[in-house]
Amino acid sequence: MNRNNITIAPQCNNTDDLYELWMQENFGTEAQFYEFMTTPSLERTAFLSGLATEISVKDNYVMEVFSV
Amino acid sequence: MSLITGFYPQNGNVFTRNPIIVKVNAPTLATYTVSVGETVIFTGNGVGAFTVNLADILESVFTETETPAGNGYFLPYQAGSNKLSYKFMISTDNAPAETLMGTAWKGGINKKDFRTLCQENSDVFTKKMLDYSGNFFFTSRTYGWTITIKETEIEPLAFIMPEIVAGEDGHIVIVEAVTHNTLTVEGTPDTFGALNIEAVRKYFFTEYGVLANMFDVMDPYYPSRVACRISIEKAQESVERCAVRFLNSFGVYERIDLVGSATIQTAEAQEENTIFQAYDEFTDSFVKSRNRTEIGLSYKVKTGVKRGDELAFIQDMLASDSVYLVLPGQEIKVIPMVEQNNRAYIQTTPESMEITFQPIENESNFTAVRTKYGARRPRIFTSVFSEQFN
Repeated sequence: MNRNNITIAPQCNNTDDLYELWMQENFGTEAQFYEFMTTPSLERTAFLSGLATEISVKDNYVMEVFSV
Repeated sequence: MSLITGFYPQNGNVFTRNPIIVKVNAPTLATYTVSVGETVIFTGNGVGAFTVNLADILESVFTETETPAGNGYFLPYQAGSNKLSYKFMISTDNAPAETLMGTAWKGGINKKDFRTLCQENSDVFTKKMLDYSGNFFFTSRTYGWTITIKETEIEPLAFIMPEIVAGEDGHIVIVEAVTHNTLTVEGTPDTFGALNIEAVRKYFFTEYGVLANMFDVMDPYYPSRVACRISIEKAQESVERCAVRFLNSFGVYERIDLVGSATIQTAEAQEENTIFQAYDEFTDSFVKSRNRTEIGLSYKVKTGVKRGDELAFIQDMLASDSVYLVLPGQEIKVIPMVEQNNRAYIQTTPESMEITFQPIENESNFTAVRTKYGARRPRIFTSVFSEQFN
């Protein structure tokens, strides 16, 4: 691979759906869900791995948009 | 004939860590003053052809820079910490007084660029900080139009609020990349402040239900054109994590995430005559004793794998005059050191380096560090919960 693409932090276009899904196994406010989604952790990776992902490339950035 | 024969950088805004040269030719004894606001901070004399470098004089006036805090989208810096208006005035008995005025900024650019820009009769403010068609932020991460910040390195990004219509508030427009919603960030024109990226991201989350991590900053004078892009990069998960916060070359704080393991080295401060003889009256003899001794700590941290541009950014941190090591629960002012570091000039693989951070002061009282929750038992409705109901 000649270029090192940079992976953008997880993005999603409907956080309400994701919050509902997260609430099935977690307890917390929307602010805590925001904290969870914006902090790198193994739990976040595990949560996101079960979601639908749309991958796109913009210049040399790889964007992952997650949805339920 | 004019007393002031030359001046560079020629435009109104100058960095104080680069030379600010005034060339004077005075046939008789000339007196010059340098003022900041109404206060004269330096007075000097000279005769004949001489030069005055204002950089060191003005550098000493700045107050400590603090990262602006708050929930707003535009957070102004404290007055006097990064920007000041100065006046250079020179007069002789025979000639009328001549005056030069401008704005001095904390910071500087590399010598090569400074030389080239002076030869072009330009300066970094005209080319970058006040050119709103490109990356106008005071970041030393990149000179290019895309600013990549790790999600664990988010700090407010400093910039000068543009004046779009005279007499009205200035603004910049941010567009998120997922569903293209916009946010207009307003502020007083010419104010030096910072874009609170965390607040911007949270705005799109709460208002539109979008978690975006890529933002286009539009050119305020041509709203359909993208000026620069702020991308928040995914950070790797790590059991151990710390960060450094440092004053970059442009005089504002930035943050670097360090995910490698950190070790603490303890070394007793080398003091002579710390042990003395104390008299014990019961045994009528002398026993060895000592005062509390200072212990020097040093933190060795591996940076974790970094790209070439990130390693260049780390160089800026190593050269910084104000560096804080951010550890869980505390922030320590430190001096960073690298014993030896070799890296490939053309990087084909990510590399890591080890940095030693030495706190600026030794300690002899190792009491447990105060926490933000205090010494009381956490109660319900605090952010710390115990498993039992309070």
